[in-house]
Amino acid sequence: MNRHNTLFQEVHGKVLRVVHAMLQDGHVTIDTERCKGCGLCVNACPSQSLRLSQMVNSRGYVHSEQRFANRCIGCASCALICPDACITVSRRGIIPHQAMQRDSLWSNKLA
Amino acid sequence: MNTNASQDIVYHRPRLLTDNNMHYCPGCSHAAIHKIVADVLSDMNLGDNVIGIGSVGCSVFIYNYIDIDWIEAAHGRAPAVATAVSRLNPKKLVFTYQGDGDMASIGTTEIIHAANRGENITVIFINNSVYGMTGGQMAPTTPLGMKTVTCPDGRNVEQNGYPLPITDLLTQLPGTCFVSREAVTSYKRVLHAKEALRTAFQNTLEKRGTSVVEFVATCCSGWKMSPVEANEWLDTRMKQMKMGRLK
Repeated sequence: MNRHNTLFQEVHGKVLRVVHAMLQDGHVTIDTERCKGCGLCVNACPSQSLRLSQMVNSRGYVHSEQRFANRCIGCASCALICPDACITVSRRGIIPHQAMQRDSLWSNKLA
Repeated sequence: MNTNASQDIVYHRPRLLTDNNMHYCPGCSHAAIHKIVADVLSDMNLGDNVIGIGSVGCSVFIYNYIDIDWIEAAHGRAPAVATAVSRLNPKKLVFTYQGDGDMASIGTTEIIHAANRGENITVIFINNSVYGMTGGQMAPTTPLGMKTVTCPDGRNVEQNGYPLPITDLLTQLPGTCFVSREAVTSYKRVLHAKEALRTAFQNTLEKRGTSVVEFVATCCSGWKMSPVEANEWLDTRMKQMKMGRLK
């Protein structure tokens, strides 16, 4: 019974997370003039919704762009890792970045 | 594609970063660390109450990018300048921002004695293991076996000696209250680094002693790698280091 309970909770949690991710409505705004096309955000995006554009900006750099806007879950991984701070992330509903900070293992360790 | 007003902003450009475009190479860790510093200072509402000491190296133009008061120190002498500034302005938060060519090479004396005196400063130390500004030459912090412009066969002990573990040396001094080793290669590490910086600044405000935050950084141009490759290489190297809080 106990084992089934934990299994149920695991599966339930996973399903909830998937459904939650499907309902998420994230939005990324990229300042293409500031972008230098390092590709770190493309690598960091967990839902593969970013890519490097074929276009260059006025400074001659290839910039990143959103490939699948509806895939974005608003996790802000790209914005946190972007060296030039050219990504703004907005999202409807809860804010995962703040939730992560609040519940992070690290904040307890360092306090 | 327009941003809906009902949407919550998850992440936006830190308030203390200026609108200037940074001169760093694409993917440089310096820019990411500037962003974290500005973010933490904005979060702590310290914008008017902080004095930063810049150093010589790629980060020499930091005063163009973070909108706080800055003093530019001579090469390696940032902890000495920070000592004077923090003693004359005890209510201000004073921090230095130094690279490894500045702090671990020419400024070893200054940092060790400032930390040994337990000055109330925060030292942000960017360790990218080469002299990035001059083209990727071997630095005292270059790990054994790493190839640079001036050691094309890799650093070896007979010719070049051992790398200098300056952060590990500083943990042994009684004057330091907080020593941490961080990185900015993934969002998790970025969040951890922000917490470490916040702790270091808080310690300085509470006058507990010297706080040192080392950032293990990448130098894509000096290492001759793409930014993504450099981050992956650094991730494999970090498995051999002790990361997180050292003291």
